[in-house]
Amino acid sequence: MLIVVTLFAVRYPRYDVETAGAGSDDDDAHNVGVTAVLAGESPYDRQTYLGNALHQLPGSYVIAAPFVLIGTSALQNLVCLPLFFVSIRSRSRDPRTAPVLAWLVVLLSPAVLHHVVTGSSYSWNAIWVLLGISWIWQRPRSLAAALFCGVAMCSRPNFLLLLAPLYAAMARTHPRHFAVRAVGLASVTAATLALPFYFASTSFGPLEGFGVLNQFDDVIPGAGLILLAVTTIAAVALSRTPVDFEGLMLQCAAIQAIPVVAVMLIAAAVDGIDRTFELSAYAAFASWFVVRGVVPTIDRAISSPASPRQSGSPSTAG
Amino acid sequence: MNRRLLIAQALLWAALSVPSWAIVAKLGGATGVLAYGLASAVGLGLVLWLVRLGPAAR
Repeated sequence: MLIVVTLFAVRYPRYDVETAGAGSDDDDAHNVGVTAVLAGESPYDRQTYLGNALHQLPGSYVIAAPFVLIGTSALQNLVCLPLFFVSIRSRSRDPRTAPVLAWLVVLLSPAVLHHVVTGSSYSWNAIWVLLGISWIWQRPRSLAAALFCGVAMCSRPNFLLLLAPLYAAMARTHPRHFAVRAVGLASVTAATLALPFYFASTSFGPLEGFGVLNQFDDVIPGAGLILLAVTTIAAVALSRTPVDFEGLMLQCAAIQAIPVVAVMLIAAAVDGIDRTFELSAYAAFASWFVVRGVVPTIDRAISSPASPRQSGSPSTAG
Repeated sequence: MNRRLLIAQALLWAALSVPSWAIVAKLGGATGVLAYGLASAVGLGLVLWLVRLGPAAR
């Protein structure tokens, strides 16, 4: 945590500059969006300093508001990352599991550190949704949990697809009326937040965000719609498999990963490997769900130590 | 080796490394991504192996 805070304090001011290529305007998009909402205007009539439209759904501005009032939306990384590992700690038997995973993230995933220093929203956005699902799972009767989950899911269109597996998994593991009430409230919250902006805005930014999927429409006609349909069908199909909470996390990861992997593969065929690598950044939405989903297996492995004789090399540990 | 653990490690490796390909590719191109991918896989296995060699916390 100290490393993350230090990185943010030292590097974020350097990268938070209004120059293309020097950092990211993702944090600015949230700052601009919150400022617009607080001024009673539509965030989708505004642009970032790079001239980009605001692509987030309104829920992201609701969550970002306290942080923008303090200073900047980029501060969310300093809250979300610790909260994520605290949530892992509360679900693991071995106290070393959460710190080991935190160190693995810091050591092996430069993308996360990049998100921290540039103020990018990919990590915090996914973690808020994950924590919302976790809260609603643990407290299905809580109105606050349902409202928070709805607001968090209403931050990007790709997260709304997670409502299907969430409902299916809750309906199997909780009394069905709890699942109906909790996921219903979350859905109504998301709709109540998004629809007024959709009807009031001349151009609704989140729909332009669909450009990631339909960027290859000129090569494969309708590719964007096909990818959206495939992902939706996958979300519904995955929902038919009974899962526990960790299984639900892996289902969420798969639903977030399917369009990204598909776009990466098409990019490799059409534009070459460099474009594929660029698009891999979107995999961050799935990553946090994967890390949360593998916690029980990693926790079991850590809490049942291997003898050196059994584990002659790292690749055979287990 | 425990197959479930192997799958979990593979998923964890993908979750940690794939989003970073964009940054690594800017610095080192496709060769850099390949080297980073291998290094992160070995690093992940090594860290978990070393932790498991340590005394159990429980």
